[in-house]
Amino acid sequence: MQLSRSSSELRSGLAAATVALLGAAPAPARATEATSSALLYTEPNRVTAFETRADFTRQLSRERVLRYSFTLDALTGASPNGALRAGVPQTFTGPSGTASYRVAPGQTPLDDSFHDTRYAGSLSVDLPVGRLTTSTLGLNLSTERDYFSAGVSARLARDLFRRNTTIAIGVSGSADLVRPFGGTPDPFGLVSATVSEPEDVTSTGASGGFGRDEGEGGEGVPQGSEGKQVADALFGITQVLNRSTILQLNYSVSRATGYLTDPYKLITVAAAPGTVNAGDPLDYRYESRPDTRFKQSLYAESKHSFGRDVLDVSYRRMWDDWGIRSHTFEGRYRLEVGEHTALEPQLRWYTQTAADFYRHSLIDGEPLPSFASADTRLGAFDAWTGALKYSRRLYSGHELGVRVGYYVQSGDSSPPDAFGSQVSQDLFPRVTAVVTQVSYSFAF
Amino acid sequence: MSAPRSRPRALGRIALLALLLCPAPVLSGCATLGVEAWDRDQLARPEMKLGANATEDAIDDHIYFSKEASSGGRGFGGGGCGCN
Amino acid sequence: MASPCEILIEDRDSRRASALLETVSREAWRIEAKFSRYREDSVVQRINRSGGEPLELDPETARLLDFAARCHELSGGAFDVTSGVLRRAWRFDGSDRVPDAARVEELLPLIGWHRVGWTSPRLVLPAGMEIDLGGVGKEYAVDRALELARAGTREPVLVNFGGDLAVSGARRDGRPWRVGIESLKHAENADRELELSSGALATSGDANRFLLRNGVRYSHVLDPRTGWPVPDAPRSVTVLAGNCTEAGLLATLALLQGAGAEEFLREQGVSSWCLR
Repeated sequence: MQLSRSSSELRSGLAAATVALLGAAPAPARATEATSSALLYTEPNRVTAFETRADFTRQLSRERVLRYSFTLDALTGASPNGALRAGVPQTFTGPSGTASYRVAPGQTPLDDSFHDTRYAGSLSVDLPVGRLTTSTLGLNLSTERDYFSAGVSARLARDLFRRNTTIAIGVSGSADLVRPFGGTPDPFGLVSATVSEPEDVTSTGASGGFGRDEGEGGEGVPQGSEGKQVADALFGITQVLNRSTILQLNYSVSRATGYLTDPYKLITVAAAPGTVNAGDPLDYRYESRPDTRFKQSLYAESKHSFGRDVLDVSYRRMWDDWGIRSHTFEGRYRLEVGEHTALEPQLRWYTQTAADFYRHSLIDGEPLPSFASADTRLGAFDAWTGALKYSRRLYSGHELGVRVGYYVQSGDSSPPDAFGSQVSQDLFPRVTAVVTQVSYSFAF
Repeated sequence: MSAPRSRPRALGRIALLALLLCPAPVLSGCATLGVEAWDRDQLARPEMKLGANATEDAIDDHIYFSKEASSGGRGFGGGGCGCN
Repeated sequence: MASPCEILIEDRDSRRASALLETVSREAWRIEAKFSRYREDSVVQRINRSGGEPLELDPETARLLDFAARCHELSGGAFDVTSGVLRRAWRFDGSDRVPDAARVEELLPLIGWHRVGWTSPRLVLPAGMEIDLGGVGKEYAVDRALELARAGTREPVLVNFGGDLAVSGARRDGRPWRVGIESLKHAENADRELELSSGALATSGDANRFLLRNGVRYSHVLDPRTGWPVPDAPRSVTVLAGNCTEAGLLATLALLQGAGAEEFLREQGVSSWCLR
């Protein structure tokens, strides 16, 4: 005996008849899932960031999912201004143009005038396109006093081979606006700062912010604005390997154009080798970066379950046309202890090469290069992160998570091209940070 | 006995053999990619989903974006803040 | 529903759980009372005794008949709620009492949904014909019960009416429910337990109902178009699908495919287990 209809027609007809009988397709009982999270990021004696975040996932129907999030991010404390440590006291004028700060010999020059609050929100929706294809459309907004960003993204994912394989393609674009405090500095503009003689302890900073485009705003008000555009594309494949292993591979490209310079970062102009005070800072200039950057990355992640426990490993290779190459390895092991509790050690290792235009200082008397930055984030360094997460499932599907992590970043403190008094200074001070995060998930 | 069971069972043995032969668990998939719907019990667990912890990922991406020269990879490039 | 029914609610608040249990059981009993062909006061009995007179049916019954009509159409007549009349000739008691062809032949004019006048909500069932919603009633009850349970609690729930079952989602600790399949107990090479974190499971067929004559095994699966058992039908078929009603229908249609049951299920792309 054969059925009169083709099998796909039968299945879809039956599904439609079932829906008519039972009413709408049964919606999941938990309509909205929320995760709220608070994070404290502290670098000893430096910056402290407090971030609160709420993520919501609302199941509109079986295949339509709405996600939205809100972030509030408050930053206080001091950040390195890019200038090198020196054997002499250094005085800088803050970006507002009036306040000045002194840095003792052998100390990292830190600018503590950064107090900013960031508000960000995101919205995305999953919409089915046929039975096996899902589209995701997203929108991001972020604003702080000196920065604004708006972005859109679109992604298509298709399931293949009995849903064992998913291929995805996505594009995103963002338009950002940088409004530096004190105006946008000229590339390599001289900074109003003086280098004090050791006995001249009462020296004050020079007045005015020459080297910056003066806007008409008052103190601490962002002036002028620069644009930045980022376009990303991503190709991904996710494959179920076996009953307990899943693998994801992504290739992505990203092109940024516009103002890519950090308006607050300085670069020391050091007295030339052979002079009396070789290596000492004579002056400071604002940094200058290219106005395009093209990045590519390969990313692989695999999750494997060992009974109740789950191992999550990932690797990322990133390279760009600034000459930066990086490797990131990350591993997490979720260990179930007891019926409702899990412990998850997390370990991450990161290494990057320096940008072609990265240099710890400029040399007085030499012609200026096209681009230069002393921002150590563009230098060569390694970083380790170790963290431990504790999570506990509570009543009614509520879940509490606590994570404590330690981050350490170290580069070459005594680079071979250091000269004169630079040789006795730590030219790549270690960055350490403690990250504490508490999160709580629930459904309503 | 019944036909639908016999195929996945044979594949299961191949997978086990592959697991013994391949050095890394990732490679065990080389012999048999994918599973049938009824073998998704492990994969169906929330912690086995990729991106299961979106909030934590977003927080980490934000921190590393502000401290390092690389971003993105897992998803779109991150950013959208003046922190780098 | 002459079979044990259970509802598992994973909740620490026993008062809330028992209140919900009562709501859900009441719904199950309501559906049984309404659609059982053994109960004098059921809608099915009222229909079967209508003697050819038109009847106005309530919306729920109308939806079930719409569903039955659609399944009849989709299956090319293999699924037919009027086929219960064949029970007058066939008794699958393990004996060798195979009815004679003439007896089966005279019942055939009383079988066939195409003979029924159905324009929702008006039904005209020709005199002598009968309908039996047993083929969908239990699965429908499981889905209805789960829907009610979901409306009443966010905690994980499993509804099991005599082996046809549905779950609301994974258990509270995120793990799937472990379900033993009774009908596969004696099947070799089949897991007796499977893990379920969404969807529903339904079984059609009864391994113990058959006739045996001259070495030929007559299965209890009757083809409404011929009145005779479907040759080489599996003893039972278990299907995993999004909801219990769909799972049950697919299992029944698979049985009616006889020797082609496994292939049919494969074409439908559902997880299934056949016992032969």
